[in-house]
Amino acid sequence: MAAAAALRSRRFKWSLDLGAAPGARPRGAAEGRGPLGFADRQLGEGGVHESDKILMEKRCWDVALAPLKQIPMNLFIMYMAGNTISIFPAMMVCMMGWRPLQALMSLSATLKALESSSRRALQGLVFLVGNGLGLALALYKCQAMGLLPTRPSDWLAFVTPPQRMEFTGGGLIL
Amino acid sequence: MAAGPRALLLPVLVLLPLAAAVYEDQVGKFDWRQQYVGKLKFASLEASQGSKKLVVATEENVVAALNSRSGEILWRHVDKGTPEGAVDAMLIHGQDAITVSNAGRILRSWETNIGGLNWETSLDTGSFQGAALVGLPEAVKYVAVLKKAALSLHYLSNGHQKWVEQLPESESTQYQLLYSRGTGVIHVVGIVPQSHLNVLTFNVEDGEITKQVRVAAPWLGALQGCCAVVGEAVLVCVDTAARSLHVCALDTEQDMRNIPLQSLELEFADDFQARILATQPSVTSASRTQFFLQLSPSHFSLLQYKQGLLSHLRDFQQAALVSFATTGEKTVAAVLTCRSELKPGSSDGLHAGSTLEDARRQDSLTCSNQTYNINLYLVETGQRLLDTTITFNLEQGGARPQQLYIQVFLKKDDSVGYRALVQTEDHMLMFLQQPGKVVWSREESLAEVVSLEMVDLPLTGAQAELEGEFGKKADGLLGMFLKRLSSQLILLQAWTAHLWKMFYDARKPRSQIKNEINIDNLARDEFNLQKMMVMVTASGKLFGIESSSGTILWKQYLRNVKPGSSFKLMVQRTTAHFPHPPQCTLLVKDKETKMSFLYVFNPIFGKRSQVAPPVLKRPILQTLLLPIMDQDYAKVLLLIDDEYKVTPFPATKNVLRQLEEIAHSIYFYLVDAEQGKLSGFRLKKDLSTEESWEVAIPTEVQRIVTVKGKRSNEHVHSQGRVMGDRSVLYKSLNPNLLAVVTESTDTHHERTFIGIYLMDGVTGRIIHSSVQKKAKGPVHMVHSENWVVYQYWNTKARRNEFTVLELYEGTEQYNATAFSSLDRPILPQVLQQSYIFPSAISAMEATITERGITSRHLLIGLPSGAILSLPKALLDPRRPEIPTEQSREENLIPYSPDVQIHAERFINYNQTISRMRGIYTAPSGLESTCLVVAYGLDIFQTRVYPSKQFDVLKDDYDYVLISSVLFGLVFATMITKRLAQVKLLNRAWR
Repeated sequence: MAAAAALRSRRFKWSLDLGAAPGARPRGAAEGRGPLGFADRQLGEGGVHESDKILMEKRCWDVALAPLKQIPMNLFIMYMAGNTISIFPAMMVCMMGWRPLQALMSLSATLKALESSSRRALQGLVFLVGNGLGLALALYKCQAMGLLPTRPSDWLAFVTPPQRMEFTGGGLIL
Repeated sequence: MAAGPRALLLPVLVLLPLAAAVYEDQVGKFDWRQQYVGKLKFASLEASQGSKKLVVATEENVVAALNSRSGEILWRHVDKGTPEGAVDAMLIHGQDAITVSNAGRILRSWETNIGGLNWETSLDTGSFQGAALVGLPEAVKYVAVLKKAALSLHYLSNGHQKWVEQLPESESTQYQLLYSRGTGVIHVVGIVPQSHLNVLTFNVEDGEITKQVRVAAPWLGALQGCCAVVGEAVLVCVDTAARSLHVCALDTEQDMRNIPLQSLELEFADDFQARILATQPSVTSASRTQFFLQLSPSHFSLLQYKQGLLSHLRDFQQAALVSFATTGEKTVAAVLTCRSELKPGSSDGLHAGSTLEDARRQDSLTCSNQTYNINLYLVETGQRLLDTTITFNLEQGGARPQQLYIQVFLKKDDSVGYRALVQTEDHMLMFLQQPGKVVWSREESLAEVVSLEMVDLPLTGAQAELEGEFGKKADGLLGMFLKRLSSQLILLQAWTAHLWKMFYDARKPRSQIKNEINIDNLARDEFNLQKMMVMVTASGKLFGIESSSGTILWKQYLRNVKPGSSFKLMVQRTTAHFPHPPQCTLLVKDKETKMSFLYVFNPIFGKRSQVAPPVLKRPILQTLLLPIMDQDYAKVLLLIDDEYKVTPFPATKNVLRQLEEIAHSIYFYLVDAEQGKLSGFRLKKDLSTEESWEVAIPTEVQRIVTVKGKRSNEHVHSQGRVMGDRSVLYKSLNPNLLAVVTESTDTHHERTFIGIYLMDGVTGRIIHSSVQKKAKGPVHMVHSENWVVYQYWNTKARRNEFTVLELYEGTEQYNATAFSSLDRPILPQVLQQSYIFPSAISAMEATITERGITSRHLLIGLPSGAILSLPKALLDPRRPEIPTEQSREENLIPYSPDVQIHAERFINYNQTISRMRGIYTAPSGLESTCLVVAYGLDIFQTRVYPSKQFDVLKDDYDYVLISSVLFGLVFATMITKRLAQVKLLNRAWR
């Protein structure tokens, strides 16, 4: 009986044996009886098929490649937004810059998510590169919009007037 | 062709900020205007008690009517400022004023009530000698004008000429005197000096010469002053040398009778040409037989010549001025006397130039306590009229009265009442009433402002107290603590007083709040928008005027200043160095003697400073205010004399030591326009100089008209300009740069030219020179930052043009840390562009602000009296002909040759300034705001905001709305918080 239940439970993720005797305990008496649907073992470990693993891998690659996939979209948006500085292009550039930054900041969490994958290092690297590219793109956009202080004209306001070495005065004879 | 670019330009122009326009409710809020008429030449007071106006004609070529109750101008007509507009004579007949102007070329009649022009006629050429109303026995119908060679008669009603007659022997005879007394004839007296008089008698009706008499008078040199007509056409002349009077009846006699004056015991002063003053109350009747004989500058005698007898009525010693006045049948003589003894030129400490003092001593008589009396005397008897004394006081160190006009009227009880108009040497007009009340006074010398500086006001007493705490040496812990407590207490007191005043004022309507400003409550405001304007006038009178209201807070007359002197006003110490008072120095140089003196004073209170200026033995050519200071924080002033020696002031040891240290870096330049020479000098350690360069501009071809350096207080915030590709075009900011303008001596319109030279004042190197052919002056120029803007007349196209020059170093700076004129291997790039301006210009200046961040505007005074505020961006040589992507990026306006005058850019809306001579700009404490003073015949003060008021909340900022919304939100937050708490509690209970 118990063996059948065990067999069943092995085959299915969970099963409910309504025919079992009320006093009978599927597991050891010391554990006491759990509620319906209770399983004392972790599920899934042994129950994962080979195809799931592939799926898993795929999922991880998805995560790793997401930033790269964003890039063509970003490029399009960048093109559409133009180089004038107004509220919408500015917001877009901000978003474009902020998302990769956010992703990079939560890098450890992403790496944890990728833990299951066998090619974790590569995926991590791809994720990093993708975000880096996104960031570079945002910076490029900033540069194109003239938001980066890279030219001498950007520092002109801080140029101090040169010190005067000679002093002169005079004019028409009074 | 022209429509294309203009259509393109229009939207751009519309987008430009119109910073100058004011809203209707701002009129008069930040600006004021004062109108003047100038020094009186002729004045006429109506002889009735109820009359409200006095008609004047002035040296400034103005005909005006003043309200005799308040001194305000009722109407004013300003003629040309050149001698062409000069008023030569003014005659009053009833409601009409007849003026002769432009050296006798134009005869005008004005309606004196409203100032309208009745008629105007032009007269023939010929130098003007005199004009008189001509009366027939019943009425006054004509005005006679005497020229050198002709006499003409015009109708008073329409100005038409009745007749004109040539005068005989006009080459040798100088006809100067014109007389008629309602008998149908006009007498004209001419003189051949030291020989004889020519007396002509004309018939009024047809101009025929009815009589021509030659009277021998070999002792007579001139008619003016020496001779006058008294009684029934009796010519009286005084012979100073023989001490006698000569008398001749014009109608009957052929010779002059000699009446010796010794019998009357009259003493003539030495070296004084005696003068005769007579009066003719009405042109339809004879003159009075009484007349004044002036024997010395302060001695007058009232004489009477009646029926061939000369009698002495009264003697007036110590009289400064005399005058006649008539009402009805009564003619009175008014005599202005000094209350104390008149003394020859007192030398009180005020007069610094002792050399000048001596020159003036002989002709100056000063009243020691500056108190004067005016008395009336009945002319028939010489009796003094009782209760007719006016006593008035002029300020200490003030000027002497120069002219006296009397308005006499009969009171109801048939006694004589009068008012007096007194003009003093310093061009002040006073209108006096019995028994000595000054009804009003006008400072007419302000019509001729020659130099102007704005000085920051001092801190308030409380602030100064705090400042003083840090300025002094420590005197123990407790003492310092107590001092701090006391100063905090004073601050608290001041604050509560301020609060109380605010509360008090809030209840009154806004129009009634009048902040009376006087010298005691003078204090700097938060943003330093209120300043003290120190004005130097041509008459030698200095004024301290508070800039926000135009109140004259102090005035000081420098007696020893001759007309036509040149002035240079310098601020040596500002108000920033608290325990030390601010200090201004005025250099006055006499044009004739070439001698100069320094007057050092406190610009806030107008008091003469305790500091003794150096005695200047040699003529001073130029001055130089150095940025170095002595231990008392006074900037050092260098005075260069005609031997090119330098005198420092103040000359303390500290200063001399500092000068020795930096002598090698001090240069100065002198421009001699007469010889066409520009020369540069270098200071040596022993305060002698060495010529380092010289540039000669041949005077046969061109003459130097203007030389302009940069303003020393100018700050340039941005060292370059950002180009469309975001590179930098660095400005060439040479602080030693001079802009020299020359005009050709040949004024033929085909050959005339102007020359522009940009020179380095240290090395004499010519950085840029250009000659503009077919251009003519007067050239107005502004030199600032890295640009020069000048305006001239284009004789070929017959229009006014602007040219702007800008200097750039290029995209690289040669030396970013230090600027030395001696080390400049690369010449700057000069960009240039010209524009058409639709009007002539009378003055031009650029705005200036504290830190130079605000964009610059040019303030252009137009001859119409308006001040146009023109953005400098419109005069920019980088304006492209064909706009490109990059030029759009740079916000450059596409080039269009014409600069338009938009009425909304007039900063003085309808407050026109007559005959504007200059515009002065000063920075305020707010970066956005620049203070502007325009002066000429009028004075106008305002503020301008070239980049709008970016650092100030607007006037109409809704404080109530904003604060109510804020408080409302705070309350709403508190209430909703409470409600939320209640709701949460209720839910927990459920």
